[in-house]
Amino acid sequence: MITFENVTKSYGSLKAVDNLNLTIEDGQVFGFIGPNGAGKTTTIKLMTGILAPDSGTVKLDGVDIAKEPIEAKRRFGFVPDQFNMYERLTGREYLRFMADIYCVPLEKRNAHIEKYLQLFSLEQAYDQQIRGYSHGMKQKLAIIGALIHEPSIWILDEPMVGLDPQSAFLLKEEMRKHRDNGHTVFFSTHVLDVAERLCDQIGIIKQGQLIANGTLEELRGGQNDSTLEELFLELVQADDWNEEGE
Amino acid sequence: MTAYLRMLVQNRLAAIKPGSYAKEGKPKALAVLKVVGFGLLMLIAYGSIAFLEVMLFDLLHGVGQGQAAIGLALLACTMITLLYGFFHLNSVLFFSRDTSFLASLPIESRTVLLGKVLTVIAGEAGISLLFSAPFLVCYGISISAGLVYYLKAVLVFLLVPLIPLAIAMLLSFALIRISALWKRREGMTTLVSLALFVGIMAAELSLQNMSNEEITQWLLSLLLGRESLGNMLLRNLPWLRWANDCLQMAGMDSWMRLGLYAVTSAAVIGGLIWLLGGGYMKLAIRQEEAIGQVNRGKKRVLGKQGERRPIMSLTLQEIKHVLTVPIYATNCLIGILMVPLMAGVFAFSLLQDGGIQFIRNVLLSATGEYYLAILTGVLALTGMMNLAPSTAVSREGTVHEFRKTFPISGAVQLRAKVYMGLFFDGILILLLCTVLWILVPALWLRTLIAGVCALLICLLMSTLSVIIDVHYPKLHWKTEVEAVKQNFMSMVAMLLNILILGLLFLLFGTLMTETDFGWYAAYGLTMGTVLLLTVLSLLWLNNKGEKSYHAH
Repeated sequence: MITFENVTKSYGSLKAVDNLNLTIEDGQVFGFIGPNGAGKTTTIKLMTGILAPDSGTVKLDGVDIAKEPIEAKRRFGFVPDQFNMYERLTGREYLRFMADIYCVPLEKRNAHIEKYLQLFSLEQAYDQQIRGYSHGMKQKLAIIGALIHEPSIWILDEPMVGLDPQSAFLLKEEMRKHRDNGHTVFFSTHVLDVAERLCDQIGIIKQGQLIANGTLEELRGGQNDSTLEELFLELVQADDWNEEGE
Repeated sequence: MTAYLRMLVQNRLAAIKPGSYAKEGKPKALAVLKVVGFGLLMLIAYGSIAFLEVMLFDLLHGVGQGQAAIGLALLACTMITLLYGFFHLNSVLFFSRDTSFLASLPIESRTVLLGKVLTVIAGEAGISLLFSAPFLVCYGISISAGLVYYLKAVLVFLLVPLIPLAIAMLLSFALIRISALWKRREGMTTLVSLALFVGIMAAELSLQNMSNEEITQWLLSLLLGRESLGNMLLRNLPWLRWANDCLQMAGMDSWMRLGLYAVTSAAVIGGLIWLLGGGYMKLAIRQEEAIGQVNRGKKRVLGKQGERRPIMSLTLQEIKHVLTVPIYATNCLIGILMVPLMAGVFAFSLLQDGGIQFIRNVLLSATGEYYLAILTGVLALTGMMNLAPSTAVSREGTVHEFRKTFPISGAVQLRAKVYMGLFFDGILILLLCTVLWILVPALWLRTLIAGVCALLICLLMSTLSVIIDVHYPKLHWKTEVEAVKQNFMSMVAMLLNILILGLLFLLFGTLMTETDFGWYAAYGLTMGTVLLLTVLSLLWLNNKGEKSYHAH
């Protein structure tokens, strides 16, 4: 479970996240959408401990990341939008490093790596240097690394970017499986079709504020034929009009 | 062409603009204050160097060889440019990340090479001028020189880097072509770079090496006033002799020498750029694409994964990171290699003259106390020159954010960086101690104690270096060169380490001369102080360092 309570983060006079209150229950796939610069990445940075909030608390499985950062960080696996790990490592060295960091026992890590290498067709590239990988291959490796300790929460920042259709399908399947095992998936995306088909709960953020949150049905509010794209544009523009009116 | 060169100039100017260091949400004034603070630190450092140069000039002037200061400055600038310019140029030409982008632009390969070489020249020329300024001013005052002398001096020292950089460029091109023949291309580049460094040093020393007969002849000429010390220093480097003569002559002769020196220097580097420029981009692209070739041949090797504790895994990763990136390996480790290299070249020259027995006798005849103290200081020099820990946080760059998501405390991550620095120091200390154990086995225990104590001093220096880097990291870099070579705080860390070593030396000397403690007690107290400082700095690293690691 992920809980945000009155979370605010500012950069000077700009409020990147403004009094965010949000709860994502176990067994949910949560899609976080919003225009560029709305505060999606800042929110993810706050829940992964990269940034500290100015006020409020972020709890992962009930553990406050500000008070018990190490314990909280054990609970999640994180896939950043850009693969920024040491690119001169080979795939094997990277996964070994991640497994060591998360103290994954030998047998468990071997079984896990084998399973995902096959799933993502990375066996041949396993002993090659990462900087020779394509963007999609790097993304797949980051996913394997994030899941190596079987976290209860899986956080992904723009995971679909650069993935080929087959890999994107596999990733969506893995996200569903993670949810079906009773775990939580939190991901940000600009691909509204994916969010529409995959998410149990959707949050829309704009200028640091959560302007909508709920299931697709709840967001529709009775307009049953609306797509998420239409709803998104409607909400974002309505908010703009409200601001102009004020 | 002008657009590209203008962009390069703007880029460099933006990097040194105080406002560009302002963090989002923090007042610009704070950034300006920081820059002023750094400026003051630099001024103190430069003041110390200038002070040493003035003292040396007084010494030379006292024996009637004041003009030798110019020759000395020319030689020193040439050596510094050759040694450090090579790594700088190699990084800029073949390991910068703009190669693909530049290749896509309608710019000629020669223009790109010219632009890159000019930026390196600008940096090295500034360093040459700054380094030589105290000598030039002292000499100018001593001969009551007019404005023309200073004008010529500035021209001469701005041009000093041209020929050494031309040599460095030739070596750099050769290196990239040669390393292309090996599969482990980057490892090869690092190894050959370091070998070239040894070669350059050995060649420079052999150029200056003289037989006993030559020394006698020169001394006689010097005493009789027929030759100057400056000419003796530059006897194998004709272009530097022209520069030297130009500053010591007057009238037409002087301008002719300056013209000859300037034209030769410009022709050498210009000619080389013209010759190599046509194929430069092709070679740079080949270098960038090298990873594709390496990966193509690599198939999965079936084997089990090992298991390590997080701190061990982090430390190994830190070590590997330095060793596998040629820019890091060459820039970070060259300093610590200096001590064993100098010792090696010195030992080699002694072997040639049959002087090894002489050194052995000197070491054995020196009282054990002096041997222990001096050896501890010399071995600790490796830690002082080590740039790996002082750039360890900065080198994380964009990885830094991802590392903050690890379930590992910042203190552990920082300790891994300290251990990494200590690892490199330790290897070299062990190497030097082994040589001494072979050379003077009778002093094995003192060698061992000196090695262990030097390692403790290195631990202190490594910790302090990481502390400085974690408080002022340079994380937003585009090329690896910026993280190490253009990292001002790593220089500050090195200066702090010099200060620490100097203060320890002072403490030991004071305890020896001003108290009745005796030799062993003085040594013990000095090392006790090191231990105390190390514990305090590690505690600082654990608390404040951890906070700072997460704050950036």
